Amino acid sequence: MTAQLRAPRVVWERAVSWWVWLIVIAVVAAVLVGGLLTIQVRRRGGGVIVDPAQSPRTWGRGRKR
Amino acid sequence: MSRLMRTSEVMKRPVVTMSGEDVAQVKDIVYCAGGGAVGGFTLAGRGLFSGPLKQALPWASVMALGPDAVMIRDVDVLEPAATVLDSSAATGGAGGDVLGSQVLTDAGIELGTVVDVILEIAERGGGECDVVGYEVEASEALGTKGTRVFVPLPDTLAVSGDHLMVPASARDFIAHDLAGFGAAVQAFRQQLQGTR
Repeated sequence: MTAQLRAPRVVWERAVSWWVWLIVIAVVAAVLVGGLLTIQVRRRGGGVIVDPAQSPRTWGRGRKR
Repeated sequence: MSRLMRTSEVMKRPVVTMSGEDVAQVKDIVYCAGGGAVGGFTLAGRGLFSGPLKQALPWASVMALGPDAVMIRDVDVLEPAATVLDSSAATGGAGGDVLGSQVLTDAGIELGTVVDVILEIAERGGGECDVVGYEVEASEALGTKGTRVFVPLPDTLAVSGDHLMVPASARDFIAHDLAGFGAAVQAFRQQLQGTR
């Protein structure tokens, strides 16, 4: 019975260890930076566009076609 | 006299004024299906964190398309992107980015997937810049699946949402290197004119 009550507490104590938080923050930061870089690379990436007036893609900044 | 060039060589090339100012870099190459003439380039700013620009560069304002930079007189020659895009718009079809599209013959045979587009550029300034072919990753139908080959295009292209159509006879003029592709395009177009 006592062991069952302690189990969640032990888990919590482990979770609040500084290095656990460090890993969590590092992973979140890596995902955010990677995502932002991917978006930026796609924004700047080029293509070969035929008949742009007929295309549904957005050409240039803020121009929806 | 003209030379052939891949569009991938033009993309991300810096746009530089005659006073040496680095104003932008090439983002998209825009062309018209009717005739294949390149109307201009959309632009992105220089630097990793700058995005697409509202201004574009019409082909008529390009002074030189060199191996390292696109030369323009000054920044005043840039026009609103809408103007350049509208000038390259055809009346029919549904266009878009041709990279990654499938090339089909009018006999219904898939030749492959477009990995690059070939431009023919007049050597002298103020000359034409036309799309004359696709570099394609070959399908099984060509017997060399996975290899890159060059498919010549007629003067007027048919473009739909997902597929790029070419005459069935284009298959007979496929080149395996860029050096011999100019002659293949010329022979293909002469053959098309002869059958009309």
